[in-house]
Amino acid sequence: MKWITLYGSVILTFSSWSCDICGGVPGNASIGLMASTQFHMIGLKSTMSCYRSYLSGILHSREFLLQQELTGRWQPAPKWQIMASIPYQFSIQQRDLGQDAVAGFGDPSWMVNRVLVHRKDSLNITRSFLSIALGVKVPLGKRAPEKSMIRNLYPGTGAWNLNAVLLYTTRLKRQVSWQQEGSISYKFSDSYGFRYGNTYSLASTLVWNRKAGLGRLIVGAGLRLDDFEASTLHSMGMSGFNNQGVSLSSQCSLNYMGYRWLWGVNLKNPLVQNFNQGSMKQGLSASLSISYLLISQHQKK
Amino acid sequence: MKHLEKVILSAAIMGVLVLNSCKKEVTPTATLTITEPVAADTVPHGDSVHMEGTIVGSGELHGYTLQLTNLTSGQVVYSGSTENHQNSYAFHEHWPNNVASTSNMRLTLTVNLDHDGNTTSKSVDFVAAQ
Repeated sequence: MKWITLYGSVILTFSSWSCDICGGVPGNASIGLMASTQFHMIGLKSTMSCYRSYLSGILHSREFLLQQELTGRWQPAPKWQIMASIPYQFSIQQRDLGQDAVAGFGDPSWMVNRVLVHRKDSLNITRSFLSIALGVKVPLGKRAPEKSMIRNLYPGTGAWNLNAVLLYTTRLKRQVSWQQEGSISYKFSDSYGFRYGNTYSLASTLVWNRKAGLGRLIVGAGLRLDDFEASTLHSMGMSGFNNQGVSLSSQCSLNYMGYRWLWGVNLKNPLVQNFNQGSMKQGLSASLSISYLLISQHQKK
Repeated sequence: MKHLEKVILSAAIMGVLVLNSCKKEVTPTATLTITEPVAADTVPHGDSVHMEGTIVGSGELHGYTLQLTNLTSGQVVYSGSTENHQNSYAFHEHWPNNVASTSNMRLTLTVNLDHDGNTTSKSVDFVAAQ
């Protein structure tokens, strides 16, 4: 099975949830551990995130977001991938005196990835890999009304996002590679003039992979830095909380690629964060994913 | 001698028990802050009234109640309470101003200091405009 000797391959794991609880990260694109497989994929991903909100340093509420995503990836040519995601989100905020819940479809996203450099050794194993991805998040999801006090709970932002991701992977040892990723999410205003600030991310991950049974085990661990610019209203700065902040997180993932299925578990845990002057804190975020692999035409050839 | 030791030990145990049984739980105090609404403020019709504030106790508190009353009509338009035992609380609730006529409103925050009925409260009066 030649495909299993691929050193690394990429799966786009971008999310498109609307959440000013965490600084408004919709469309924040992130290319996962694996680069350039020769497969089309269709999959499901479940992500659970939790947050705590504070007033004057006192715990005010807890927020839980459960997102289900239908993900797809099409490999039209060896160096091109097109990826799409349609999320459905259920979110709830629990307070002393009540709770609010919102459910609905989020904003779908598309992204086109182009492999710029793919160096291989004499055994056809990847030595280094560079790719760039450009994408868009379309405001078709459920969005908050203009004066909503729970805007963060809604799955859609009502605004377009443009996303770009640059990914570089280099092999360190036979089974270990180092992946670095930089991404930008440029955000437009919604029809009410509200605009989440742009998001900039850097991630560095060590990836270890080995053959396991009939498939391949791929494990990654690393750090991720996210910078969230302040939200604005009609291009003016907002008084009070504006979703500005920085977050440094540890993240790890465990993936198993079998003959037809790819399984994945991802964990992300903030180490340092200061959203909204420390009034909102993200807890552990976990996701499970499963994808069905379809051999692409050029792979068959 | 052994008998004397037993007597002293028994007396000590009895003393501890008696002292403990006599110790009365001190009722904590609480500092109540209502950040919003501001006293004498006027909230336009259609806007949401933000009911926001904090409660900080000197010890464990036994819950609180937040109540918004339309003094003009005499109706309670919002009421929420919790019995969670905590040293401090923060609240931020909303009520949409949908009054039929301009009304005097009172937001009352009442904190349960213990289970013996001891409470402390704070109120803010404002106007809900039509």
